[in-house]
Amino acid sequence: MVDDIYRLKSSIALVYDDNILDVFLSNLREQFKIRVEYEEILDLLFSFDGEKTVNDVLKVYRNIDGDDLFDLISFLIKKNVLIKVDCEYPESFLSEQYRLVNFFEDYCSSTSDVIASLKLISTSNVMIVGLGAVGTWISESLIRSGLKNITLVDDDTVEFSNLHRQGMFFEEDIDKFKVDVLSENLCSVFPDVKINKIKDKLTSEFFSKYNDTYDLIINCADKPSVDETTRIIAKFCMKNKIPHIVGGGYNLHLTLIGQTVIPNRTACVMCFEKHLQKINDADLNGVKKLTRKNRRIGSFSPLSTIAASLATIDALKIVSGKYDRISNCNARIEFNVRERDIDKHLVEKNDDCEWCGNNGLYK
Amino acid sequence: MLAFFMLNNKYKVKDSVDVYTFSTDSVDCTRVQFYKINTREKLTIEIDSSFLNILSSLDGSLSLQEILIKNEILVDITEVGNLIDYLLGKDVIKIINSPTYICCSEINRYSRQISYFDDLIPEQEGELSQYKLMQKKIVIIGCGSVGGTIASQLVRAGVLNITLVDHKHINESNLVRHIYANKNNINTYKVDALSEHLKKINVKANITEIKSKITPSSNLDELVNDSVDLVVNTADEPYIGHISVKLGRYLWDKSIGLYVAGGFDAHLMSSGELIYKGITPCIDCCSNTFRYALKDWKPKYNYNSGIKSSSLTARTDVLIGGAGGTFAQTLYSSSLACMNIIDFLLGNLNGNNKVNKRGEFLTERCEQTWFEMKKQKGCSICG
Repeated sequence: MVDDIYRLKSSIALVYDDNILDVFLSNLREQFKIRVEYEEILDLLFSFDGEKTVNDVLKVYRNIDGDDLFDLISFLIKKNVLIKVDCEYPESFLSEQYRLVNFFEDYCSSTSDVIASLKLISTSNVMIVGLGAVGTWISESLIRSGLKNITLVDDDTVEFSNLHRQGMFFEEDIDKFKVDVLSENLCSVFPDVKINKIKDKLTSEFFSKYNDTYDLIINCADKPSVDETTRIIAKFCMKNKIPHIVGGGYNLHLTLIGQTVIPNRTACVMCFEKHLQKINDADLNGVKKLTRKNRRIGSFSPLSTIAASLATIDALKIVSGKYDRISNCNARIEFNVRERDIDKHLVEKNDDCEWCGNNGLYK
Repeated sequence: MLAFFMLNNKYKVKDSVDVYTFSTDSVDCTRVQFYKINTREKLTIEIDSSFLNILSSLDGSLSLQEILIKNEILVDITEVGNLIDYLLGKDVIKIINSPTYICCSEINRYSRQISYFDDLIPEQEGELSQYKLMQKKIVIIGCGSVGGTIASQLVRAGVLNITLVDHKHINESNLVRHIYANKNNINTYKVDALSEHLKKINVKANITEIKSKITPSSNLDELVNDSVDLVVNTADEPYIGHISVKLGRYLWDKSIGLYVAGGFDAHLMSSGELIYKGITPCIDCCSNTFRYALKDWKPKYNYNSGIKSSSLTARTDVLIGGAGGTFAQTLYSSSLACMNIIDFLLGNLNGNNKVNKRGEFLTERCEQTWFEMKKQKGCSICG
């Protein structure tokens, strides 16, 4: 460790008073305090400038015990306050992607880890099913964050009534296929993006036709119903151990923030279904829905884009391999419109689940 | 009883109401439950099973008489009248009048949102809300990632009169977060590129581009005329508070709203407060709220992070280890802002108790937090 180089990130705010070191991570808005009995702690930490080795620092601060310092460094790395500088960032990262680099510095222990994370994003293949009020925004968000391989699924064309809530569609695109329009507009941002376009419906035979290797599948399709599309995608993903996200923000579920599923690690779609069934059953025993024509279901873009935003952040963590930092798993999350708050209902992974339980189909 | 005019009316089960049917012991009788999906209220009635076809057909396209004839429904029309009256009174159906506020193509364009507005502001027709939104005038100061996304989302929602103020050009690093930036418009003025993006969304968008930077000596009369309804500030240089105080004092007496957006460095998923005379604390009270809350917190930062790159010496905005930011985080800030801005433009301030609060989303916990702006003791402006 003595030859290693570390850097105290410039986004970290430090206050030292009365033997208490108060640390605030301004990107993540997280704060913690630790007791440190060392008057020169701020100067010591500031000397981690990305150039000096631990040995160089020890030579200046001779009154500190080496093992104590190693413990402190390990702790602050774990807390994403310090980052190990084990390689230089390529010039293009700095001039074009420094905000992404900084985003990932909060999830990585070393600069090589940041580079590896960005590399993983650029080599992953993500499938987005359904290009509506959520899918369009997730696609744009992921491409602008460095995803280079994307599979877009939708058999529909752009309609005038889509424009108020669906991203990257414009008046000139009416009647063109959604996959074509979105591909063209994503490529105008980064021409090197590779897009696999699928103009097809999501039926139970879908994945026998398009059985490629995917690193993540995000369901943003709600026709005929969210439950049906989610089941088809979840079955394929559970069988092939592919992480998947239920996009949220659907018709009649406008305020739902979708859940993230890592097969056999977090509660699966069936765990959710069974859990929610218990709650709903009492209400809906032997009930039928009245058939109604021309029903205009309400939709509001800012609600769908909140769902898209949160799904994208989890997606970035998944494709860069930061599974332990995922925030939308094991819970049904709703955005409460009136209160502008997040309501969470915990759903645990069920050991008896017929899909992912101890004797489950996809165990 | 059935008044004659009722037969000529078109009725519609509100789009926000789910209708469930339950069989009962008698074949002739069906239990029907109306479920208001937004307020989660339930209404249960029992009706003659032959009325179900009528209920199914109440979609606003045919008059009651046409429905009765088309479905060859032979029922006691007095009872039909009673049922319609009752459901009107319980707010589960409504009379459809021919639209007067906006034209058919616009109703089609915004249909889903109009339906949402029906629920957002129950005392006002959704179409009227949409019409009002389309008449409003706003100014957006700062067209970076958050300002640009707010503008884009608002034009999609139907806000058509927008003045954009920004003095900068697009550079390569903006592709990561700016909704209107692409390979073909690098080095062009941000306001020009954003304006083009907005007109592609709606050719009727009436956009004014102003290429200037707001400084303490700027003359705001040149940017904000008296017909403006709201100014959105997203300019974070030198610090969002500086520009906001200048704007806030100027707009207060004119009774023009100021919305302090979020999403800037160190507040990547935040959205700010509204400043509006008669409703919220004034801008000085808001900035003092922060000053007092942070008075004992004097943090130090490590700015000598040791990253050296020859081509970067000219780029003062690049700070490795500093503020992060992805398009998704910007989108969250912008979405919160648009909800609040649309509430303000539609006068829906009672339905939202977060007008005078700054919101901050904590990604790692998936939690939304709020910080309240307070009127300060002895304030001569709003106190």
